[in-house]
Amino acid sequence: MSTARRRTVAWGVLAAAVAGVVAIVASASRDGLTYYGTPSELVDHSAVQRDVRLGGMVVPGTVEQADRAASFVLTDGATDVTVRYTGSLPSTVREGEGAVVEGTLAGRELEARTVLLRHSNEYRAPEAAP
Amino acid sequence: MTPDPHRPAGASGSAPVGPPAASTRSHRRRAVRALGVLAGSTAAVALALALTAPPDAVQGQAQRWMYLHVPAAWTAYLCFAVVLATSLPTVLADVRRPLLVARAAAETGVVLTALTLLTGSVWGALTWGTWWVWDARVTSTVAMGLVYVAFLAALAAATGRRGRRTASAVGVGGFAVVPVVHLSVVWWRTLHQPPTVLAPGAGAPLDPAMAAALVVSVAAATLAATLAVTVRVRRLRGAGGVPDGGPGRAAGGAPAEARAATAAATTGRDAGSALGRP
Repeated sequence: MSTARRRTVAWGVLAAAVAGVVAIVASASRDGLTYYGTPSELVDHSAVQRDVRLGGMVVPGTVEQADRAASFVLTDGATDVTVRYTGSLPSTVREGEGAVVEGTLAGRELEARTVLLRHSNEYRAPEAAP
Repeated sequence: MTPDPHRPAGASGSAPVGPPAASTRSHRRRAVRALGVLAGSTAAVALALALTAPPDAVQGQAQRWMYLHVPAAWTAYLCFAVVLATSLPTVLADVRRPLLVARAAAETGVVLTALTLLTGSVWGALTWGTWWVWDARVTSTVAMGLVYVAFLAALAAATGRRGRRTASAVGVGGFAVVPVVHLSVVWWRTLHQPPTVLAPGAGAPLDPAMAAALVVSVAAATLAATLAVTVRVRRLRGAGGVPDGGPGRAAGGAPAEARAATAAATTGRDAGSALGRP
């Protein structure tokens, strides 16, 4: 590649990289960088059905897994939301750990499309686990 | 490895000006080889520790991806610190030499950022249940990769003194993305967990065997990245890897550009000033 051509390519790559950064910053300032809402934030607002991304702790003892349907309760300590999910939950769903669900919220019930698990920043050997 | 009294401080050898003597060259070659052996053996120890550390109580075996993901992210940060330190002299005064190291560090940093996203993606697939989310951590890491690319492209597009200094300013200013990436999990609500070791305030509990594996993995990655940058700098030095021209210390302005263009035209290969890939 000639020097001139190489420089032209470099300008193109520079423009693309800068455009990418600008797009990220623009999207962040438009939508914010908060990945999910808490039950208290989302439930209080309205009782109409709407699309949300909700995060909280899986309440111990609430995970139910039947053949084609699963459910559990997510909490932020103040507000609980019952999550229903068609299909089987990922094996990493743990009671007492965090989860982020996407779906339609109506009242305190959420019909989940996707269930994502959060894990804490604590790492322990199995023996040491409580 | 015995300390070498003849080798100048800063093993990458960017300090001395002019062609080094033959004995210095062989000393440097030996130093690079020693660094390679050290990096390799540390990596072997890291691998052994990573495979024998206990699995995580919650995440199970998937947690072992930490021993790749965290070192990759750490060295990606570190490479940007090197870009900052080696771009700054060019911003302050028009010097060219440190830019070779800046370029090598940025190239290594791009690869490490990609590796961070790749290993994070696999770890995420295994524990989060998804390969990719646009949360603040992942998004800011992508931004860090783009800033690296922007710096390298600016360096490649640059001509003369002004271009060189503008590109260096991108390198210096671009470092600001590093604290944003690291603290993104503290500043914003993310799917990614907050930091365990380099956390503001008190860290979180980490099993001692896991901590040992992590520390040695990070050390191995740091050595490997140092080796990669060093080897790349040596290659670039032979090929004029930074923008030439302009009234800089090592270039003669327009005549140099003209010479380069003539050489490129006659030899049919790149004798140009900006990139000089070996």
